[in-house]
Amino acid sequence: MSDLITLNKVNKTFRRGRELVHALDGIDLNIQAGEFVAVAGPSGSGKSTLLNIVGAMDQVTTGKVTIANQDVTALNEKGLTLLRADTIGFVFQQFFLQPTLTARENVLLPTLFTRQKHLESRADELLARVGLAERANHLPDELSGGEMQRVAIARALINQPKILLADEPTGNLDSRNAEAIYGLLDELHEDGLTIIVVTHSEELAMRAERRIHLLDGRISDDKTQGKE
Amino acid sequence: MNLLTLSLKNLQRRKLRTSLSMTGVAIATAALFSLLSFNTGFDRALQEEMANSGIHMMASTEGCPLEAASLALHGGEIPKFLDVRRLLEISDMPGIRTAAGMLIFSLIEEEGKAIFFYGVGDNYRDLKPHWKIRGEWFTGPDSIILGTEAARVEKREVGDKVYFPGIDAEFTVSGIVERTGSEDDGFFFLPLATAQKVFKKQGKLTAVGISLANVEEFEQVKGKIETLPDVYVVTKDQIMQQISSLTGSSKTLMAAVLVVALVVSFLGVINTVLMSVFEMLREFGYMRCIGASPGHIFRIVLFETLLLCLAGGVLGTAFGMAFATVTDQWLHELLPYAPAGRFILFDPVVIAASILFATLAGVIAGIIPGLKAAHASPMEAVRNV
Repeated sequence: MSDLITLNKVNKTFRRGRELVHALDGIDLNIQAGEFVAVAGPSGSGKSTLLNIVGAMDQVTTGKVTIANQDVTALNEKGLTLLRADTIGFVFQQFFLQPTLTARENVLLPTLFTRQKHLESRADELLARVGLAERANHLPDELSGGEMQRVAIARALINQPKILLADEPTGNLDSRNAEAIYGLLDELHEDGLTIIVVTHSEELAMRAERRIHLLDGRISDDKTQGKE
Repeated sequence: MNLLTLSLKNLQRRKLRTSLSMTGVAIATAALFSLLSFNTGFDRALQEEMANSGIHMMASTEGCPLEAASLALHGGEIPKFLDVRRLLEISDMPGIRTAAGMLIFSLIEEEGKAIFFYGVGDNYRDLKPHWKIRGEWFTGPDSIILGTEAARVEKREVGDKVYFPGIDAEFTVSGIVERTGSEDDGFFFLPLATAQKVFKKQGKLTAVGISLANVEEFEQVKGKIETLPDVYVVTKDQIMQQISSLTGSSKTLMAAVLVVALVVSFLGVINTVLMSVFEMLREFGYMRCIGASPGHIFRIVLFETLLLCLAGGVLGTAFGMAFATVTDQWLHELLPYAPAGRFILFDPVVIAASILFATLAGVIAGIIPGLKAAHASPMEAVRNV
């Protein structure tokens, strides 16, 4: 399989008051298409910074990042916007569902910003896939936390991205709802989607086929693991 | 779904705040609609009233146009009087169609309210061709003609007697002038000779209302009349100008209040939308993650303010129209001189201008919050709160 994401000697520093923080320190990383990668590590180890850079949300201080054969460090604002829109799906701990839009409308939200239109039937398919076909016309406040996160996942997939980035996707969920999300991520991985998950959840990290451990902005461990 | 629907749904998230801001815009727009309507309506009403008066110019003793304007349209007294011979001299001049003498007096009733008596000759009817009289013209020296309002207030009908204790005189109502919509509605008309006798001004006149046979001879006739001793001529245009300047300060005051209302509502809209932008920064950050450009975010916010102000504009204009009668009444009471008839008419141009102004204000008000929101970085989505 080819490399979908490449990080080459990536450094990310920022100032916190007078202190210079090295959030990422010389990261080299290759992620192939179809991989399911869990990024773990203690708080402040650089997990989220890594996700932000892989998601083209943040710029590196030095180094080079390539996503889907595009040099992210060379892209302008428009190029970054298009890359995020077409290539990456985002799932966050906070669901960011629009409270006045139905589940179906929330799933279709990204299509307002992209060239892909008339994806209503795909939205219905995705909602069916995440088990919410019957809840398509419900507003977020009529859904449980687990259901809201499933809507968020369906929304992340509407533009058929190559990569799904998830930042603590089960952080706000109870164990039963978290289990449903794990299962869903497994299914998406089986379908060939590249998934990168930042998590504190040992259970979720164990389900990924590859586990990267960060410590003080460096990769302290990177191993392929079998499923339990 | 499109960006406009998304903006509309965003507004629905904060119903109370949206309603309050929209009400602010509506009040400002209602004020704007009323002022615009008043500005056009007042001039139109004044022109109509002057046209209905049938008078091209007025002759009185030397005085100011203000007094003449007041006399011509509003009723009022001036302490100087013309000799009745001047009326005869003017009547004999070539180019004069009608020259009607008037003796105007006011009487303060017990309640402190002034009532105006117009002593007029028979040819006064020529200056009031639009008058419709229920009953008859003067039938004798003790007859009186009442304006519609005067008859209503005095509760008198044709044939009734009416007694004025202030002058200790009783008259028989020979006719009631049907509603004209002008100040005439409130006047009491007496035969000229009777008025001169009752008010002890035999051979005196307050003014002479003049109608010309040919308006093209206006300057020529005016010049001739002004050669008469102690005669001062005030033209219809001078009277209108005087009335306009009388209302000018009221108009300025109203415009100042309107500007304050507009600025307050404008700032209110900016504040409302800016607050919601701050609250939604993380959501905008997320939208940036899923492909929204700064332009998309800017438009979402701009549409919000646009919808808010458009709705407020439509509501405010409807409100202004619904309360037009009340506003009209208030303006008639407020102004130093108010011609008869309605000021607030439903002029499509004024309606469109009011809504357009509110909408335009919405576009401008949306720029600052829109730019703020458009600068939201995708990183806002992951920023710790």
